[in-house]
Amino acid sequence: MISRRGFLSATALAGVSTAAGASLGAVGATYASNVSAQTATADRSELFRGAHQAGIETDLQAVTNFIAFDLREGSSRADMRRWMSLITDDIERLTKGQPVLADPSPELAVGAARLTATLGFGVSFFQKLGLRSLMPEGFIDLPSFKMDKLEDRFSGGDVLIHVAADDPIVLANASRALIRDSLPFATVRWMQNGFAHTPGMVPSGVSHRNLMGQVDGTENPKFGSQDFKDLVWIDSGPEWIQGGTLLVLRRIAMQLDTWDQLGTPEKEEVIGRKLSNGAPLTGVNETDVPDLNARYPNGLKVIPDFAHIRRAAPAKPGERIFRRPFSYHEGVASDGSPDVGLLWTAYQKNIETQYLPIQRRLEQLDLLNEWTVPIGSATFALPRGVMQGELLAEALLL
Amino acid sequence: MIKKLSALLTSALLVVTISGCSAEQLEISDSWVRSSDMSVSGGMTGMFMEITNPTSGEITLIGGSSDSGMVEIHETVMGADGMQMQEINGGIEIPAGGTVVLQPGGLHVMIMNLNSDVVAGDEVSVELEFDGHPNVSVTATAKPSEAGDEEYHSDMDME
Repeated sequence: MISRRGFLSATALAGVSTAAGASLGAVGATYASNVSAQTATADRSELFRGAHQAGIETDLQAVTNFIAFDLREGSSRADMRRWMSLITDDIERLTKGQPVLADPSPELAVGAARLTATLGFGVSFFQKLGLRSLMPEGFIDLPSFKMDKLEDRFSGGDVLIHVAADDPIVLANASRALIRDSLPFATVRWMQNGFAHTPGMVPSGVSHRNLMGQVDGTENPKFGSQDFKDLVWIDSGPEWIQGGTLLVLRRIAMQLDTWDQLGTPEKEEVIGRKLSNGAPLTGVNETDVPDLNARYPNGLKVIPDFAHIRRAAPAKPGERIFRRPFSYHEGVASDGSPDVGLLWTAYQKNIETQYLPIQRRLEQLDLLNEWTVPIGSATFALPRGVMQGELLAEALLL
Repeated sequence: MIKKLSALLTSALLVVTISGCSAEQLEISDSWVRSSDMSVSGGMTGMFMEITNPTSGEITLIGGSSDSGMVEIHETVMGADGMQMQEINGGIEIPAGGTVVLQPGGLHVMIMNLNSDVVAGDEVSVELEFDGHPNVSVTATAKPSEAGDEEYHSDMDME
């Protein structure tokens, strides 16, 4: 789509003169569309206040930092309230593209870039502060699974601040501000950074092409739907979590060297989907429902028993999750083997009844486990949204 | 054409705003106080803010009082031993229609001889005293900050 401004300046320039007219017009149009693309990315913002925290039912941003904190020893609920008062104000300003109060580098507030910062608490947070009675139903530390090779430096944490934006400078500056204002109360346990697509690369939404080549996030409930509400937003239990949700974050390393030794048909059988567009092997479009009973004339199942989407399919209604996956790429070994994978997320009302049964099935049998290794794991309860005049998690910390 | 119209509309709105508001008042925004190693009981902290004077007369910030400690209006100047903070002579003028920014390394409200520790997230209230305007009470949240804090960093070589 050509913006009116782009169209007008292109026309005006093209009309200027003779031989050079056409090429000048093209230059003018390119410049104008560059300016409007720049403005769009900088100006787009997400709402901070509302029934739910931003950064969940939100189209994927380009870049992200998951930052986990450990509380300082002897922390009290009053300390947590003071922490929340600082970061509530910080996040509200950052989502508007403004510098935080006392920002030593206010010149880095170059735009909103759809920044979100989403707060969560680990099981250990409730234990340390004597708040166990206010834990949401189905909120647990995960048991260990046989494919896990978890590392402490990617796992656990008392508090999570999940920051994401469409611009890496905006992300870095916001992360710095939120960490700076968190240090009086906590130390940084880990930070994991990831990315999806640059805005404009794919239709907006929450599916992105992961580094194994697969379209990720196809089975998600639709934004704004009753289905989404039913799966994600908690509507019972302690008041602070009503309108909130539970997050499972898994750092999943990909063995790309061996994965790339497979041919396309083999890769597609491992998943049960076509690599070209994410359609199930029994369908044409990404959104087609997989036919798990379909067989070839020779009797073999089209979607094999070991296929990831068969193992992940719900065994009963409600055994579903909302996924908002980012990729990571940390570097490369001297032999050329890349350190890549997914910052895999599952959002749900209840980890025990939604994520856990799926994960148990994948643990028993999923050929994808050959090329994917969970190396980090954490769960967090994400409080409901912040209404006008409130602080984040205020209802929990009263 | 559209631009002209909207400019006209804007100025019309401005007129309404000004004539509809009988007593123009100082606007104070983005206030905060510093929490640092110095902001402990018996120590000191600075309060920072933006002060806008929408009136047609000059207003001067001349002092203040607080339950948290002794209040002075300070400036930061280059002295013999580097940057130093000192009480400002005659206060801080906020010109008619102007905005003055109180910030680390510059003008600020100093709170000395603190009655108790000021830690991150605490709220501190100060009653600011003006010449040409009634007192204004400001409550600010304490934020961890080291910026513009040269006098505290005495081991820092500024030469």
